[in-house]
Amino acid sequence: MTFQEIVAALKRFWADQGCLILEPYDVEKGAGTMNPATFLRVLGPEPWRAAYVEPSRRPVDGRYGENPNRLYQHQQFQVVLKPSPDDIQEVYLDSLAALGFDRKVHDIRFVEDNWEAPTLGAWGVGWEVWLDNMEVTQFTYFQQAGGLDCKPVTVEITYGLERIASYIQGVDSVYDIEWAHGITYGELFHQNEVEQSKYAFDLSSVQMLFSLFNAYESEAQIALKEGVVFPAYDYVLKASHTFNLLDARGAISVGERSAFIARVRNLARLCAKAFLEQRKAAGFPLIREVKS
Amino acid sequence: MRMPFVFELGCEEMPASLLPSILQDARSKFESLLAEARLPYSDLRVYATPRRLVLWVGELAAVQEDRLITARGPSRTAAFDEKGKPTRAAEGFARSQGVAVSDLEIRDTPSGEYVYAVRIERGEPALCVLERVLPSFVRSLEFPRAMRWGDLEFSFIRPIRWVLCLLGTNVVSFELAGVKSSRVSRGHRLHFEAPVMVDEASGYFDAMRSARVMIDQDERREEIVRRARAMACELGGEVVLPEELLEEVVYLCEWPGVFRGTIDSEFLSLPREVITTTMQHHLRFFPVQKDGRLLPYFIAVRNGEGPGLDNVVAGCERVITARLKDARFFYSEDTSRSLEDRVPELARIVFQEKLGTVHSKVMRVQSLVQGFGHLLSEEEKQRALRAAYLCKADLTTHLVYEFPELEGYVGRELALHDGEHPVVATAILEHHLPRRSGGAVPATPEGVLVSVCDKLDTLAGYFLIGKEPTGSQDPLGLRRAGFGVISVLWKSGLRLDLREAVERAVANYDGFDEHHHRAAAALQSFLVQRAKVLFTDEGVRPDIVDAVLYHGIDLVERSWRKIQALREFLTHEKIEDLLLAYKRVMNLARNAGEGEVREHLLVEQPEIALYRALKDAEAELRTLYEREDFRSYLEKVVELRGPVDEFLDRTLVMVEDEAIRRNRLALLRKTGEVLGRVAELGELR
Repeated sequence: MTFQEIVAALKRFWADQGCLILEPYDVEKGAGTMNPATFLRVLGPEPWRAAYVEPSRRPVDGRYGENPNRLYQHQQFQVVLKPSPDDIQEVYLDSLAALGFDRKVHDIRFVEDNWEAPTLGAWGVGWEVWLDNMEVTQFTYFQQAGGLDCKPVTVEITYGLERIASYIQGVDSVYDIEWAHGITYGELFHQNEVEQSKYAFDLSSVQMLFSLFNAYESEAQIALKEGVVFPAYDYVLKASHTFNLLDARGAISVGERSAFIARVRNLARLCAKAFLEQRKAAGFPLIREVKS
Repeated sequence: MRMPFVFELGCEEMPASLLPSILQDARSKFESLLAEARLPYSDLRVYATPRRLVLWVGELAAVQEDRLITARGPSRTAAFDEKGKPTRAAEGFARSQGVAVSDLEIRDTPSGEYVYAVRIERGEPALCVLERVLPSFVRSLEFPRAMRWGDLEFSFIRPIRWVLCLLGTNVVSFELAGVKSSRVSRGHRLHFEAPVMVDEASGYFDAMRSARVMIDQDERREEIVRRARAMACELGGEVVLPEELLEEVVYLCEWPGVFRGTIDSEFLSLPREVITTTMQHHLRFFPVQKDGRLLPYFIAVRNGEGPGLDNVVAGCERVITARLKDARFFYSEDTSRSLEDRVPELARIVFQEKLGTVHSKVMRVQSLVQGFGHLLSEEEKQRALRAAYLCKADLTTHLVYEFPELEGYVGRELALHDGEHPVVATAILEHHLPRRSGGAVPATPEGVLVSVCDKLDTLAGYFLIGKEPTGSQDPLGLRRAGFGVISVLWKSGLRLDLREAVERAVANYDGFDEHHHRAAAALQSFLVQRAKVLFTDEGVRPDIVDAVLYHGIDLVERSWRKIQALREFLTHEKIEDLLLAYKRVMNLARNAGEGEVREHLLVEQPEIALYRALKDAEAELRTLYEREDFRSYLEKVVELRGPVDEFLDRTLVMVEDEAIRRNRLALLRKTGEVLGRVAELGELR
């Protein structure tokens, strides 16, 4: 199975489970959780089922393309279901079967791993899923997002696509994964890894990044004041990514670190609150659709 | 009549590390539930697998015990008129109690005669009682972090998906978190698809076994140990089975499938801890060793047995190879720079937000080590200072970033690699000891001193910012650090004056001047508390420990020897003499002021005799105390009982003449000091 066949299989599987198949969100982010289709949609009482691929940037994990398993940018396959279905673990195991992993001949385990995202004011409880001792999925029941209790609870399933693909294809380096027949992950992304690492660790202009961070923060505040949540949230994502770049550059002193995180979290909270109020004012329209 | 009972709570995978304490909690709460419900039982057992909590009672009463209910009614005079006929009050009371007026009894009580109704409440069937109380029993279980799921308000450790509950052949039926109890369970997640019907409680274990679930954790454990040992034996080695890891693995499977895998022997050149940490902490594999050296194998446990073992082994080998490759890469990166070069970078790592960076911590620890360096030889002192300087530098390495539990081990390896003195390398590792309560303590004097100074610095810092531990929680590990300080000083015998050390550790911090006094006092008494716990854990009577530590603690090991001496002396035939003498003396001596005994004011024979006895014993007692021969000190001091009694029996202390009175009180105070020098004897029971 090629990388793109894996993605196609997962999309088909989750579409059959009633998920909307969405596209990646076009602002830099560290994880699929930060896509508004997760972070905002987990809030409030409206049911929600969605699945999408999310290219996720984590500057500190960059290794100049030299490490076979660590990447500046990796691909997540993200699934969110609200409320969490009673048989969700079984459904998840079926999704592995759709990728060719028959549970009878593999060891699949759910090992405690709770999740927390301090910049989002979000946390959840769950597991990492071990497939023959390899962590292939993060499985989380959202308890809070943006500092708000999640009611009902959303379950989030995040597949590490590179891990799964290297296992299926039996390769030791992500760069050897076949994206499609005849073309590898390395051919597509290696140069990106080298250059992004070089930029994040050695080249970025710290002064510019600091001023961007401040500008994004104040723009988010202005947007929130005007009651436009989505533009505000875009700037939160940008601020968060800028913080990650500064962090990779070693530009944020230890004393300042938690203050920066708190600034992003504060904005994320305001967006969450504002989004929920908007949905409430609109009468939570998605509730009606599902009843039919 | 009694019958078997089983309650299986089916959940999504619960955290393996929490299951042992959840089981304890469940057992004790279920025991009190049965006691309160008046349901006699025998053979209560609790079990857990990743997906189930199971309560099993071999014999549970089918019916509650009857209960005698005695209710007090109106007074006799209010209940019966002069002719002895029942009044309306009596009739009303009897009716409310469900008894006939003629059955009312009159009892004499301290507050007069009253009417009583005595009746027997018949027990209800256990089935009804259990249906009522089990849901609240489940809700009463406690977890460090509970969760909600779906659209329920219910919270539990993980989502509840099924409930099986049987008393004999009957379903105990109730509803919990939207799930109805039944006689249907589920089998092994991977290896058994069909629902599992259980006809009667007694058939539960067999039914689960055929569904590939081994309910009993002890059975799973024995199976793992037995097969892992046999497998290691075939490989010509022995398996390393740390208790904590074994326990976790037991609760990570419903049926243990033990197997082995191979690693490339080229990885064996990595430091042992790097390999074992990768295996144990990250993958839950057991290493195999021979004569203390690792062999290129691991033994692992999967969830269940059946086909596909080749997939599992191949997957595990892939994962461990990738991990070890990473580790090898990190190790070669890390050894490319010396520990010494790394120290300045510690200024970029926060120790605690208000307390500054790890670099400033290192400077403080070094200055503490310097201050107590005279307790070591000059060479040792220099090495201790070096170790203190380097002890945190491994925090900047890739390996410690990736494997935080390798902190210390990496420091030691790098120090050796850098050509530091081997003892410096050892002390870097040892300064983290003990890693858990009762764990090993440093063996080198250098390690002892750095370990104590580092922990005292941490404690002083947190106490200064008001983060001393309260309640049973210890998220910052401060109690552990406190126990560490005491046990290292105790076991090593290092003569470090704890009072002085606490003062210095606190004073080492700049900018908290107004908190110094409070923090130092709080830390002193915190450490005394830790010492009390450790000493009583050795089986010493708490009052003995209290007596010795009454005035605090300076030299830990000396305090321990006082405790030993006092403990032995308590079996001495003269012990009563000593305690009585002390008590008599202290009754009056409490009123004494300052001031020495003035010889010319001693006028009566008994006081002169007591004074002389004290004088005569003084030199010897001082020598015994200084030699820390506390046993002989106590033996010697008992001899003062005679003169003390003589004095107190025959001389009036509280006389009119103030000078004489004060002098006699001073004499008593001095006597008290001599008698109570080893311990505050008044604390003894």
